Amino acid sequence: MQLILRCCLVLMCCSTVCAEDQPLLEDDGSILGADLLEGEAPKEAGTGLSYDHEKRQQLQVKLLAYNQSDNGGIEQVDEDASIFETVIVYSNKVSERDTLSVRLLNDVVSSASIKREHNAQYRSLQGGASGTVYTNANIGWQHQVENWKLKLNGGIGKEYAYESINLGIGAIGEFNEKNTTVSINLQSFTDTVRMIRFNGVEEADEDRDSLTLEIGVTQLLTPRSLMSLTLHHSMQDGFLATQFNSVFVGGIEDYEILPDTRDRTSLTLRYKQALNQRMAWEAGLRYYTDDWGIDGETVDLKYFQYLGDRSVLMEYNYRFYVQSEADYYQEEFSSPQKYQTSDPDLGDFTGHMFGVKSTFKQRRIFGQTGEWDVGLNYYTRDNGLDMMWLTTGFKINF
Amino acid sequence: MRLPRSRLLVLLLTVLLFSASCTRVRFNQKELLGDDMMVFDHDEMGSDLQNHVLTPREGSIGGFSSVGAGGCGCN
Repeated sequence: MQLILRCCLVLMCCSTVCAEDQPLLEDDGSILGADLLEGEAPKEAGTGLSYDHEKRQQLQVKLLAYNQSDNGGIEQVDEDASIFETVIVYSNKVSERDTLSVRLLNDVVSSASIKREHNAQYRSLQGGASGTVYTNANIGWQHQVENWKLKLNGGIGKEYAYESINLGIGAIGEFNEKNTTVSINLQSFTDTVRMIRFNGVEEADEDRDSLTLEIGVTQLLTPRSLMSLTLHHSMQDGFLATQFNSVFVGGIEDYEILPDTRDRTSLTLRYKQALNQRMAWEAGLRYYTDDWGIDGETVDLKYFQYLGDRSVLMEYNYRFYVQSEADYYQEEFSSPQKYQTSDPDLGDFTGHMFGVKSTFKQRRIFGQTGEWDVGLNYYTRDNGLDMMWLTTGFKINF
Repeated sequence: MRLPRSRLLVLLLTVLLFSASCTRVRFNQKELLGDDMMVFDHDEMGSDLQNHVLTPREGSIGGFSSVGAGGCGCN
């Protein structure tokens, strides 16, 4: 694994080190950009400008159907689950400098996360926690000041046993003739956990607070390549366990107990290279560590290709993930511990994800020009959990 | 043997800073870089959805989308 990661880094370095500024050619052999007149702006590099300047409103809708199958892991817990999610985002460029956006999200969850094969008498005590609806609403505002975009967002989320209030601020700045982009985001969540235990006992509500800082730099390297580096740090405080999880201590079922603080840090490097005007590839590496003892490494590879007259964009994705187990993780305990968890998501495992997505561009949708997409992903973990999800959606400007 | 994380951070920052100062893409050469296939997370909603699925099932967080810690019982 280390050899693969080092080879990826070397590959990125070799392709970026002082690349001689060779002229990029069109498919017909002419020089790319030669016909651009001074003052005629190409699409903002690295941003995928999605607005037609005459159309100030945009509507995006995404649907997700997710299913996970528990094919092993902890014997006492059945983690089969299905989720259906709908996300709607509406944006309105209310002025040349200001954009308003509203996002609505709704999840319908059918989960066996508290279904324990050996203790059927507890199932009826958890009420709606075994099948629940999660709803989230967010509003955002973006304001442009010279070469900076300032962002502010806030929202609320609610499900049967969980409530959340979030607030965030951010800024994106462009420098060096827009070759360099710097982004800073600060996001806070103030959450309330309804303490419904695995055995139906309900205790007083607990708080959970999270604060996340993310700093990123994106750099254009050549007319065909760019890279980004992102530092992410989260601090969490409060009740951080899963209230309806349990562990087995000497054969007796007991509560999951985890520390009331957690510091999490990740560093992500991404690189994208165009092979020509129809094909490109992307590689991403992420290193993660936290003070619960979990270290994670991610390798994310993507390949993009236009089909036909560039009206269809195909995306192929392979993702490798490996993590070490939390210090407090065991499948079963012989004696009570200060902190104890048997949650497979905090155990050591290796995961592989395979995905494919098709985006159909320049289509007529509800009388407007837009695009729609459909994607399929499959994820398998070597500790017995398999997941598959189907996504579809559309985006229109009007 | 693991590469020490502090040295890795220095290596990554060195690569980025070196690359930043090495070349500058001219105005009339940016057309391809603005194409959807060359934009990180051009389908931002799709990337957020994917990471919303993966984050609760993995211990790691950050870097690939705007999903942060907190916000739902899944985290």
